[in-house]
Amino acid sequence: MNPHINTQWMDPYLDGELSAAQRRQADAHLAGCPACRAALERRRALSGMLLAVPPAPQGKSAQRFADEVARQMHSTPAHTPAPSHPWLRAAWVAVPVVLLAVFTFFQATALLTNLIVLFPGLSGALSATLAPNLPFANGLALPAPLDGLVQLISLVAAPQLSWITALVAPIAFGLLYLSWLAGWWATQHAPRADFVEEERMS
Amino acid sequence: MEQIDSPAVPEESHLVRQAQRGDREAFAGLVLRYRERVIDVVYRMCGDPILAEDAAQVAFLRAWQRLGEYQPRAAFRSWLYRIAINAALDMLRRERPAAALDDLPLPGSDPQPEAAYEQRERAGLVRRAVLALPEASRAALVLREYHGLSYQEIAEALDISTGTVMSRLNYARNKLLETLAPVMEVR
Repeated sequence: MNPHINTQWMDPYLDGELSAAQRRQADAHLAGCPACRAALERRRALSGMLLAVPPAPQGKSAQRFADEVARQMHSTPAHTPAPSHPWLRAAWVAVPVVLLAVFTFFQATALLTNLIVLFPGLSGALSATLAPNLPFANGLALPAPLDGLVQLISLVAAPQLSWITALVAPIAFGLLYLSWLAGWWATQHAPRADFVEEERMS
Repeated sequence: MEQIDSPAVPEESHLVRQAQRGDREAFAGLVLRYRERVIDVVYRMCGDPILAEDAAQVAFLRAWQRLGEYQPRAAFRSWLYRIAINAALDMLRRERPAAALDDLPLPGSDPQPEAAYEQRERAGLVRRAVLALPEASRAALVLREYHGLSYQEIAEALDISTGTVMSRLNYARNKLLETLAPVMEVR
């Protein structure tokens, strides 16, 4: 054990904020250390002096005070209720996840399509390789909704449009995500924005 | 004055919920419940009883405006005390420069017997020593010593970590022990 109680422990000890094990350790030390007991007593005496300073003197009556606040409340804009429903919070969190998922999907599709287009004959080679092994593939037709989706993807990811998706989509998604982040930051920091203090302890 | 109160009384949480829905009567109930304590927090921070009531009213108005932002996961009193401390600091910066500590009125200035006079003098010294602390340390000390908030509640009120609460309290008490050493020796 250290020769004396760490000064950082003295206040939590006095304020009852130490864990049971830490308190036992401190008690054991205090029992045999007059210097630490004296330091603790000085702190207790200080607390006594602080509490001897009288509270704020009574001015207005409680009712008059409350009435004045109520009067001023009428000329003050009412508060905006916070989103209290759990599903609203879930939706708030889900927004960037969905945005990222959609963005990744389109990017991956565009990349794959471009890769195939970059190698002329690759699509033909793929068909030639796969067709004999998949005898049923000749007669295979995609279900209507899936086929429509494939056409939509090929339209979005068409080579002549790829530069648009490569530039516009990331910017659009990035802006949406940044605005979501700004909204989140404003919600979290608005109530405490004015308690900005400097540590002037030196 | 009541020093320590329970942070989670069901009736209080009901009042807060009602007030969050725009119920002015419920908010008036919260004003009556916390008036004395909010005035005291402000008074201990700024040292002026006249300014303290005005700043406390400002604090309640701000609380009303921001009630929608209060999250019940933190103690209501921590949230309210944060607003009160900000109101006190705003008022202090606007109305009275920190250098004018000696001009602050002492409560109960009627002629007193000698013993009471000495007691008042000592209380005045302690009060000035507290007011001379940096705002950050003073806020932690006021919430702990006069209002019995736990380290966790102080951390919530001041938006700092419990480790920082410990270091601010440590600094404040060491500084006060140093400043008040002559007074403590003659007690």
